[in-house]
Amino acid sequence: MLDPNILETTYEKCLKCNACVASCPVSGVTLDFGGPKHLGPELKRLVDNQQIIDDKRIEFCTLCGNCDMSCPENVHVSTLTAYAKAIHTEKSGFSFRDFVLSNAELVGKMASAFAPVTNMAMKMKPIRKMMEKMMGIPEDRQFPNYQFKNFNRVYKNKTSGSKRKVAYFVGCYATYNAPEVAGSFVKVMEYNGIEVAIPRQKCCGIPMLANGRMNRAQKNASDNIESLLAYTRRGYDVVATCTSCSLALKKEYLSINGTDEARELAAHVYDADEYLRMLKEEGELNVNLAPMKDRAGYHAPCHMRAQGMGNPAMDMLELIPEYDVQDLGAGCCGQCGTFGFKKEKYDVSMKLGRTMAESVKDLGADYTVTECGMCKNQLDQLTDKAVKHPIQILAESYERAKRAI
Amino acid sequence: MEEVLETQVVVIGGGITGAGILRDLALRGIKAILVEQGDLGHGTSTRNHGLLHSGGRYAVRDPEAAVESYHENLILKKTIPGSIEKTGGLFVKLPEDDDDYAQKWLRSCKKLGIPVEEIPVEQALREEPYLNKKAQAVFCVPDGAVDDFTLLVDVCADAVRRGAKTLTYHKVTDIVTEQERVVGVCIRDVLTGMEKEIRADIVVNAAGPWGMEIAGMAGVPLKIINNKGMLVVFSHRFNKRVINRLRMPGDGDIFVPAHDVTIFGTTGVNTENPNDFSLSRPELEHMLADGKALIPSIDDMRLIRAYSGSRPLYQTSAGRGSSGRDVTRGMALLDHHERDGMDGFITITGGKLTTFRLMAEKTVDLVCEKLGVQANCTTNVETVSGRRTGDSFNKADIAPAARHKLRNWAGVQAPKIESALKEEESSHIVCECEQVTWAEIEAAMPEKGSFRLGGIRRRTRLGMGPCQGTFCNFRAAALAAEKGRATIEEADGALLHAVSERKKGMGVVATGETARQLLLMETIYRVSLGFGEEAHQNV
Amino acid sequence: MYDVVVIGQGLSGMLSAIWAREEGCRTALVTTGAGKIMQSTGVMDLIPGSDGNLNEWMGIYHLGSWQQSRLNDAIRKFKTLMNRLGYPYKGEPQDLIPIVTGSGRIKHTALYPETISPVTEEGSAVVVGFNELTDFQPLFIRKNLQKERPLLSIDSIRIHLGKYSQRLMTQLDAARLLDQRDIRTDCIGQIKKQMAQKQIGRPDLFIFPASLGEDEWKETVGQFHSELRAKVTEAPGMPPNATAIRLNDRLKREAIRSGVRFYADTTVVGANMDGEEIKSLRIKTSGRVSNLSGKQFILATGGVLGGGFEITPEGIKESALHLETDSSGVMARLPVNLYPVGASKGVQMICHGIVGGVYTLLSTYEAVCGLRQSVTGGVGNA
Repeated sequence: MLDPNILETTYEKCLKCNACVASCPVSGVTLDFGGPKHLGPELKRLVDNQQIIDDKRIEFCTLCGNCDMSCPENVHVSTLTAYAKAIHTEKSGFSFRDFVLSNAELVGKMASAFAPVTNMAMKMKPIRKMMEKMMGIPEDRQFPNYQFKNFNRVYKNKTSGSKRKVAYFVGCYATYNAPEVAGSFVKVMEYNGIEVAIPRQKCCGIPMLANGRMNRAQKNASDNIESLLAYTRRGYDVVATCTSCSLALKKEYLSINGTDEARELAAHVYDADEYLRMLKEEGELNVNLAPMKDRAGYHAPCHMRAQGMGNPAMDMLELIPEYDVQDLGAGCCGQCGTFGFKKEKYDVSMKLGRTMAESVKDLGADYTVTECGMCKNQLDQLTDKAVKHPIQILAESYERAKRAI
Repeated sequence: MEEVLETQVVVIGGGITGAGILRDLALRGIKAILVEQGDLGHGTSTRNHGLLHSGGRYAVRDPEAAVESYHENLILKKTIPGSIEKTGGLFVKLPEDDDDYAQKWLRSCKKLGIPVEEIPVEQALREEPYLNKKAQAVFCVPDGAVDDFTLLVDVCADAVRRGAKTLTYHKVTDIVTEQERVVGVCIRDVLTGMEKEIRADIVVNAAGPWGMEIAGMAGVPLKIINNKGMLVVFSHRFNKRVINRLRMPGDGDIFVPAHDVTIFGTTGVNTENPNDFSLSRPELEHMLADGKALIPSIDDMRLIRAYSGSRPLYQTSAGRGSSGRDVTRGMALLDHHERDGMDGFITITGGKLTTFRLMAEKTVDLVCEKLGVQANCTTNVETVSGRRTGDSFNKADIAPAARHKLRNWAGVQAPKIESALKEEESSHIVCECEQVTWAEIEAAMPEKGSFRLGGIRRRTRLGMGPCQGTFCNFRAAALAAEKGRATIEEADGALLHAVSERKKGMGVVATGETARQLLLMETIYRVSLGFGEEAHQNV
Repeated sequence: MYDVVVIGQGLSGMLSAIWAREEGCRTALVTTGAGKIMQSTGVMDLIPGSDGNLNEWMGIYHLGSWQQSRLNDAIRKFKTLMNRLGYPYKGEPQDLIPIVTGSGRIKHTALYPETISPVTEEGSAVVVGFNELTDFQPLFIRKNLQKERPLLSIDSIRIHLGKYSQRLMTQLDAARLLDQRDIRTDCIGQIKKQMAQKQIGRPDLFIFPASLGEDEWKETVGQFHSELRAKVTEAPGMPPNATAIRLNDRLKREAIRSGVRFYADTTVVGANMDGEEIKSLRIKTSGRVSNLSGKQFILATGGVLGGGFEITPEGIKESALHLETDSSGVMARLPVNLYPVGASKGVQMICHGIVGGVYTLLSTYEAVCGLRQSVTGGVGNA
């Protein structure tokens, strides 16, 4: 049984100013959502030490965290909405579809084992029709490809004994869908002479939180904390290429786990570009980057912005000579992890993505860069430009520099 | 005199004592009119903790009051369930609290029959995580939380349903006497200025802190000490149960959960003027410092407002120097015929919210005796309609939180509100903090008389949340004008009055977020909406 | 390492950051959350809550006459920016114009977006409200406006947007609905029909809530204007006003696109000093404290309302850098590379909670001038 009386007290600072509602991407496109103010601080206040109130509209919350970013009073709105989701799921149960979607890791393992089949099936109309009917996964929604040669099968550690050591939190997406991102990260680390270890890890838990499976997310959090602390205590820094994973490790674990261990771990977690930027500032970065004459648009994932670290991907990409990258400044993509895979949310997801798609079109760059695999999925669907992870660009620039020697 | 009314009994004072008397009279078939200078609960009855005493607090100092409280506690839980939350209460002994007192308290509760159950400190801390971890012992008692607004409204409504009459916003200007006998009262409608007279066989003075003034009008000497207590409201409810400190009762040692907030108090300072509702920052800080012993994180928690009210404490012998707490808090029923040779005039004063029914019973017993009426009191068994309405409002297209609130609140008005909610605009939320819909507000408006947001607030919780009406007072006033429920002058006047009244209560606790909230309100009204200096005149 | 670090995301913070970028500075913006611009009306007053003229304003804010030309430069710079961002501002501080608010009262303002038109003393007006929008009640507004404009002939009508929500719909929600052409067309049809039924003649002015479109405000205002064949104005009141959100969103997007690095959900908890200079800020994001270094710092945290100052039982405190202040919040010794702007200059500048948009523009402009001159303190600290 979930304890609704979590000791999350920031909600009492709420001035009802509506900054969160005005900044909530979902509230902006649908009136069916109750909005972050009501389903976060307002509802929490009404149930604290009283009867539980279950509000179905919480299903529309994507946990993008724009409410947290907009709140001038530092109310942890998305922590509260995550609990409202958990209450709703506990009261009304979760569907098979939500179980599948929230289980990125299990699905990844299975889908990548049969990757060619999975990928083909996901593109076959009759199968997609059936999925929409039986599971409520919209027929038109594109899925990320699964890779047979998933990262766990290909990774071999090459550098060791360096001063800085990285424990790489690969995340489900780079493991099963985009091993090339994980590969690029390892390469970039190699170019900087940094050892990369792959600790035992579970899904960061964000998809579970988003589907109200709080207990499951808490379980994963404590497993990951235990596993990763074993590394940080030996001098490793934990680095992630997925910004949702790094957000979970830095921030969400503090609220859903809340232990001293969670805090200890959080202090050692970096986003990949943030880590590289730190190397740069410390004068440790290999700056032998070859010029690249590409023109790219950068899409900032919500979970990157929520980490309060400026824009490390842009900072890194701007180091590449002649590389022309422009921040799209387009807000939320609308895929929002598992959200956009749900039939009843599909329209909202598409509406949310409109600004981003228009920005990509207006800019007319060669391709789009973003850290988040789910943003990439939406970009793949809504634009005709290729989408790359910034670490792939950096890897390529390093590689070109190496070839040039 | 523009209008003359006739009745058997006039009850002066629309507090809970007066309301209880009115209902008891109605139940015994005696015609009565209640006269109140403001809205129901203008005075002490809505300016207290809202604590339904188990008797525990008085067990050592005043065993008689303790027993009365416990018995009334049981009766009220049964007869007025809609306004009572059976929260239970805790008495918490801290290391610095006297062991002897705790022992005495336990013995006394046992002797008086007040059920006390000790629970493990760990369990108490789990259930009430804000409690001081240094607590040495925790005892459960059957305390409860009373919504004094709904209590008063429901008791009065029940009396009216049984034939009684109420005149709110009517001030008593004189007591009419004829040869050592009170025969009626002169009153003025404070809204229209109309003068009226009510002829009656008996006049009951239940005016609380204003009792001395009323007695004076009848030429009867009466000494009441008005002992003003200050209370504060926290922005949310942080305790499940009432939390008392197990020591000789003093300042700042009770935390009462009240719906979505926690109320904490209180202090005691004697004041001459019954209209003195002033608030003092040093008094507040002193009280918070006391409260810190029970709830150590008290300074980190947001206060949304403060208020004060006076306990009318009757003094048998005038002139005894008193700090207020030495005088009895028990009730005093004065037959002025016996006491002062003035027939037809009774004063009931003192007492507590918890014992209001008993006070009414004793008063009406005396009234019956004087009128020669043979009728027994039945308020110990006759119930007032409840407030909870099960699974009503299923079809209303409103947020679950608003539905939840209505189900616990609408009571007898449920059918009326439910049918109003079929209309889209009636289901609009006006107050978000407390989830009040327009349908509820409309149902709370008086049939006639002027539009006032205070009355609506007390009946619906409009504007009682953390933003203190920053947004909803405006909405409610504008809607009232829009829908023809108020003239533009009434709507603007009510709005400005409500805003300045809320500001007063917020001002004394305005640090941190509440300071910002207050400024947000100020900026929105003065700058964004363009309300001018008039905001300050209409206080 | 940044050239300029701005603290705060209100009007002053975002403008500072944008203008600092225009000066070619590497710029970061650190913010706990949105600024109070989101609760504003988007119109810029001289003295908030008062109709005082430019001279009175200069007196209240202790401005020298030499600052007047700077004010003109600041306003020109702001207007140029807003033109470029597709949300132009009009008006001059010498010439305040009367506008109607969401309560029907008249206030005089200096700068206002193109969606707003002044209210005349005479002539005719129709107030249009939406059934779904609780924050804007047309009859209430009409009656209050009538008190202020006895010679103006005013009518009011209510129409519906045709959308219901269990959540309280705000002016911003209405604006987003009116971004949709079919909803606009339907609304215009309803207005015309009701005017015909009630025999209301074509007025000089239509008064709407601050809801005439968000992204598509130009199309919305244009369509209402051309099809109703009269001037239209928004009457901002209860936040969120679309008038303000348009400004906020455009400034924010411009800041991001121009390369300002946002440190969102991040609170400044102190500063590392090097003598009289701030070397870096101590910033806190979800429990983790780190340093953010820069050469110059702009304090745009706002007043008490914005959170730049905190009222504590012991007195007023500056909340971000923990600078020493006197009882009214005036900072005793400012670090030489710190430039407070807007309400951060101290609570003595605040009227009814805010300093007003015009003062914000001026102080922001002066701070950026100070950066440019890069002399210690600059005029911003005068």
